[in-house]
Amino acid sequence: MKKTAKLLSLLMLTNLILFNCVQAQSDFSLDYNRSIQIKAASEASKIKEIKVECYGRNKYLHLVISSWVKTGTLKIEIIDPAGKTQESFKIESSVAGEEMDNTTPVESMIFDEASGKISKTFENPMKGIWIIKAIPKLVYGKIEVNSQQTDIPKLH
Amino acid sequence: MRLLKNKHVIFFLLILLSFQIRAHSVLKGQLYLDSTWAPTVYLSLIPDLDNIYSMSNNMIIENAELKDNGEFIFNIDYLTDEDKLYRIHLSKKGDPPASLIIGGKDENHLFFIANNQSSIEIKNNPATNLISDAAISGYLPNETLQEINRLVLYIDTADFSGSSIKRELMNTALSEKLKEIADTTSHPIVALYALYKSKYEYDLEENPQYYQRFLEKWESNRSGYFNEFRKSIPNNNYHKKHYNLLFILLGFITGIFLTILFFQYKKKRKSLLNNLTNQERKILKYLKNGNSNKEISEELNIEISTVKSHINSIYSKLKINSRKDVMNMFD
Repeated sequence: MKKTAKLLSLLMLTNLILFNCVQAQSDFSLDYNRSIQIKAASEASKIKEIKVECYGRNKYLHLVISSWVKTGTLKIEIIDPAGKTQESFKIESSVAGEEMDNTTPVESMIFDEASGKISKTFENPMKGIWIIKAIPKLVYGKIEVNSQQTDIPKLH
Repeated sequence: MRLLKNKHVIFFLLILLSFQIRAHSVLKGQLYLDSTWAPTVYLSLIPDLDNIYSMSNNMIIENAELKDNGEFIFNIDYLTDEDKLYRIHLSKKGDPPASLIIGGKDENHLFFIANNQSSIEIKNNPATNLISDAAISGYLPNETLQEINRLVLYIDTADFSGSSIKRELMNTALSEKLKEIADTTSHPIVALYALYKSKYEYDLEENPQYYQRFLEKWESNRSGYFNEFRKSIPNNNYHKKHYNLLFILLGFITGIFLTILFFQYKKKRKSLLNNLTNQERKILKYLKNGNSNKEISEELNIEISTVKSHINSIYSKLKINSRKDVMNMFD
């Protein structure tokens, strides 16, 4: 009788631990946010890569990339760990950005703004490094990357 | 006279009718949206399909007010005769007019095909308030365009219950279906749109023949859309390449044939020369150098008549008729 009670309590304890573990796993969410501002002439045409490590623990990878340019052209690419470009877009200001040199004060520059945003959910995302590649050409602007690895199909 | 008068009336009516038709070239619609959107609809021209997801103020050709009831209208009789791809989009309040949102419930644009004769209507679902699910009517090619969008969206948003293999299979099936649409549609922009949506770049390496055949089918289409696409297909002139190879081979064979002929001719000439006597050979040498009969007779200390006789014999043995032929023989 004592043995049975011991066994039962052990079983219950195991169940409790397992249940908590599963719940903890399904609640696991990894957020990563990064913002890049391109203000200096030296940075205006430098390719930037933002790396998001996908651990493969979650069912979904949500990526939201927002970008604004006041001068120049900016191309954004989402590249999966296999090197395949999953999505891309380009935004272009009608101000070419040649005047972006260190001698021109930002306040005196003429701007024409364009913005681009991509919101993409990848189901069962490939494990590895996902790259958000920003290819600017004489850009004065900003890039924001928000990523979330979660088991919830919709972005928080 | 009466007939002539009638002809004039008919002509006048036809002109009126044509104006009437042109007056119907409109892009109008009704978009039910929430208050986060700025009340302006922008119309942009997509110059090539590489720039389908490009946004700049330079691409915007016109804008129209979105009324309180969601209605908007563009007169599009200034568009080109031939079909082109256009995009309408709206911007969120606070965002610049040149604003592109891809994916999610805030997707802010729609693509459609139009020309200066089109009458197009765009309406979204008041229940969803989404721009991306709006229906485009009034011009047939846009129906296939929407069908393509629906297929892509379905695969993109479908839940495959954690099965990556199933998703892969569905992606392959989607790619094949889009290629089938590209093959069967009679509209060039729709065909290209289907290929771009299939992400053809990744299929190109494995199946270049398909894209070469596709370009052959649309060989006569010289629009900007096809010209840009042609650039992305390597060796799209594979037939020309084959022809080039054939020409090289033919040239090689002809070369060999001519060389054989040349050697045979040389051999024949040598055998003919062997028929000449020593004296005749000496005279032939002088003939070759362009000496006159008199010079030859002086050099060899023989009569001119003997020289002439030898020359005739040489001509006969070498099967030639003149001094010019002698010169040509040794050129």
